[in-house]
Amino acid sequence: MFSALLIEGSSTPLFPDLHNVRWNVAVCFSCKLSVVVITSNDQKRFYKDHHGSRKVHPIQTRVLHHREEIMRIASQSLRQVADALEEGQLANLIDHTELKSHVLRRKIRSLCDEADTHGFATVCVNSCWVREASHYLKSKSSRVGVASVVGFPLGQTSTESKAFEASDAIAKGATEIDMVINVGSVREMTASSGEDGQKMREFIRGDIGSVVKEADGAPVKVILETGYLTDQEIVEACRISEEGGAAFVKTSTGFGPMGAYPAHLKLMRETVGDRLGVKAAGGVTNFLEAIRCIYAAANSPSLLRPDKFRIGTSNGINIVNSLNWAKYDDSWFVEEVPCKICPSNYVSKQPLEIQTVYVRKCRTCPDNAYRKFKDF
Amino acid sequence: MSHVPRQRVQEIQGLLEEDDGILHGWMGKILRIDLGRNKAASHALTNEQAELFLGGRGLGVEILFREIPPGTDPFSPENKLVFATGPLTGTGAPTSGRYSVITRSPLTRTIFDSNSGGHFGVQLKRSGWDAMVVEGRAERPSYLWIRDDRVEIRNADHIWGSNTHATEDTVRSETEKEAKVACIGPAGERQVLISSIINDKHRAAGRGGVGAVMGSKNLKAIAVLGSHEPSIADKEEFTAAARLTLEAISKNPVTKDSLPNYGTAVLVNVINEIGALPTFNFQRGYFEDADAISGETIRERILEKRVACDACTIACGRETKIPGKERQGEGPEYETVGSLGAACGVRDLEAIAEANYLCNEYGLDTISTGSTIACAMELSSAGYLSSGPKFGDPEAIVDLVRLIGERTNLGNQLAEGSLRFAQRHGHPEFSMSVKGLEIPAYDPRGIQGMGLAYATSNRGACHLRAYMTSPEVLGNPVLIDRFKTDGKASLAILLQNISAAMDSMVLCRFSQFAMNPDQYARLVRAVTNEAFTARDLINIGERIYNLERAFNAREGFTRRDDSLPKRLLETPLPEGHSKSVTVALDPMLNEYYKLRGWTSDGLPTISTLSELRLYDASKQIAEMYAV
Repeated sequence: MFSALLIEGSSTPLFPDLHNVRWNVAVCFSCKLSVVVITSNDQKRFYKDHHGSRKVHPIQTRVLHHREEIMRIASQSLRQVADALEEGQLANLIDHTELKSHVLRRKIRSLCDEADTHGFATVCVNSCWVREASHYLKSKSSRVGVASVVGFPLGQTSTESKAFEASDAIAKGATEIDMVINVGSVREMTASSGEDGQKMREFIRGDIGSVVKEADGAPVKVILETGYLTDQEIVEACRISEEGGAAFVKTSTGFGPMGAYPAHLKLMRETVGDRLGVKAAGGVTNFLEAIRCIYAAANSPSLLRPDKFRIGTSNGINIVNSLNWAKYDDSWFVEEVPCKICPSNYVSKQPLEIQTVYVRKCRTCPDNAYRKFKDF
Repeated sequence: MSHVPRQRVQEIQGLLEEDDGILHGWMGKILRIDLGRNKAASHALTNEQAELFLGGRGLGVEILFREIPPGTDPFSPENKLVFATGPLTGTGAPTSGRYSVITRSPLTRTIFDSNSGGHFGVQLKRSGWDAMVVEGRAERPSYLWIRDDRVEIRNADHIWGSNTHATEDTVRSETEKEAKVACIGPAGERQVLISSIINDKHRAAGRGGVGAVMGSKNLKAIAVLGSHEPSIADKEEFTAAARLTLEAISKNPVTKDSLPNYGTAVLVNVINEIGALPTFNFQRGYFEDADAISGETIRERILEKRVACDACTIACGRETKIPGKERQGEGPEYETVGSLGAACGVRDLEAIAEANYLCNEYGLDTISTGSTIACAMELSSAGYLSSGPKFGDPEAIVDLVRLIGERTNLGNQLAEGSLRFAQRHGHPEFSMSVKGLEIPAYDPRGIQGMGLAYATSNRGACHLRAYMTSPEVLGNPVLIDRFKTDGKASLAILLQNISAAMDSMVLCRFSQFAMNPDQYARLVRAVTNEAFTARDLINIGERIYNLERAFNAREGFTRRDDSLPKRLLETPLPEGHSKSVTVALDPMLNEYYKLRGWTSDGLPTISTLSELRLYDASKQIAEMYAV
């Protein structure tokens, strides 16, 4: 059985003779080769490897339907996710976050109070506030953890700096570490081949590994900053994070070009399986966005646990409060216009070369009629 | 003068009678004042009234339906004017400093409730009354002075003709400095159909001509001062619930930033950007000069300080001052800016502020006033009104507000509201109104759900029956597509029901940005010690909405009244981000009636009314259908 991970529409179709077909570029899990997966009108499925040979091959249906599942989330599916949430369960998945540069001590304390009241998983703060938050929560005998960020928000500090930050945060009471991956290195790695690529891979693995080591058993979440990465790079970053010993992969810092989108979350979940947790962070402001994230990355009881899924947000209270409205009407669960939940629609802050990769996907997207700006 | 004996709580039976003999939340008494007979009396708030209608709007609707026979002329002594508070009024629950005025409207001829903030409502409750029913007509201009159980009907000849500010000052000087006053201005005295009741000088029970009803009763003002504290059943629980409510308000982007910083006029740029800011009497949805009249510009140019109603931390009110002039007041708010500004094509913020101050002083509804002037401007520009006002003329809006308030010259015609005015000039289609009530500053072509909300509102075009702008534009609690019609009926019903319950607790609509139904229920439970759930509150809202509908059905209102001006249904907007769209009302309306359990003609069915325990209404409607 051929099993492929789809990377939709990221190159030109290799079958100019076929019309009215759906196609996707995929990476074969077994041989790591790029292939084009095609669904023709008569539902026969083909793939073509990078040497151009054309073969008929059975493809797993779930792979072929990958795009539809994530670009369009049916109202009923969202309703089901919401219904499956038990009282307080959503709060328990939230990292209550305050990472602004101008934050005051009293704000950190109120952040802790709020997290304690609502039963959030952790407070996520800059490392200078870890001691304060930790002491304050302990004084309240609270079960809320303290997550400290490392290499934040750019990920461009040295491995030694990251290691020290992690060690310092743990010493001051952090119970979890959210570190930023060296985004530039990830991109360089995927652009390189052979020995150079391997070296870069080892560097990133070591970068993560050193933080994991200093975290001394505390879970380390690796922030990929998905808005700077192509799908293939996200997949690679997830794999390296796992190899480096991370407990979670996380979408964004909130300071980058994109927040958490279902498409990225699903890709991350498919890559790490149930071995790692996935954390959605950036732009999650209401219950519907939170539920879309859950749908994409934690849509089963075994994943809907704080050790397998988190939402990082400064809008936790609003999310939890607004979820209550969901009980009283189904119409809140709208099937959103596909572009509204697609990363390719939010590329304005990306570097041009990455923007091009994302926007190019729109050319072959079956839903591209919805795209407001037809600049693809 | 009449002294009303204090009604003992023990006289109230059932729900309101607590084991410890103390009534929680409600005061247990309704004050009834017959101006024609110069008498005041007290009677008990019944168990049923509290349980089924809570207070505020619900209580007023219940009283009106029961006590006013069909066909009652709004200006007759038989019409009643109810001032009502709710179980949360005066408790300090966040945003609970409001009261409702309920009557049959002379403008729409529907049942009507108008809601106001400030401090008057709290004092009415603290004086020991859940509601006050004013009936009859005084022989001479009068005002009421209520100091706890002591009620006086005083002569008001000397203040008849005074504006609302002078009236309040005089009444307070004659009663007590701390008294809170609700009064009418010259517009209400002259029974201008778009006149308001103004309390605390700047707060208005603005819509539907409730001021004219008060004027028709020769009642100039009501002063109240109370010394009773409403009892809270579970203080610890109430404090915890209120604390969480305050926290929610402080975390929601609308209530923590937008409203405190820029007031309601923060919406000007937001609504303009989506192409739904009614401009030139709804001929356009985008106003090029919107920024000149926005909340940001108000803050920059004329804001003196923020103002809050009783028990409110949002403080959306704006105390403003026109630079270089000795003119000071409150506002303009978003609706005022929309109606007196963009709808009239006026970009002069100072003129809008001045017109706003004048509306408050004359006691006029700024929405209806602005929209009626805009209607005159369009009639004028279309050549149907000779020497009428022109779009974009700032002096015209200021002058016309005066003329309307004094009912002189063209103002005498405009005082009848836009529908009657446009009809008089042979072009009712230029009136942007529903059931005769002028449409607020959201063009439903760009916000489809608002179209349904306007059309099905029992009091005519009202943005607050179901504030669909919240989910459709502001993304609160979640963003839903503003152009889609699917699911809008269901959401409009939910918001109409919960809003009716909020108007009966009584809480400010802005709390809805941050709070959810369970939080409302928790507050009401903690205060009253009654086991209200969120579902109960929604059911109460549904009951109120159906009773209002039954009242209107009794007066002959049907589906044909649940409509929108032809322009909104047939003519797309020419530009902006809502262009080429009209309101797809019929499919939404069909679904709405079905979900409401009403007939396809928009009338409540006997079974729906019975299920809601509205037996009297059910019986009356059955008799009506039989005829």
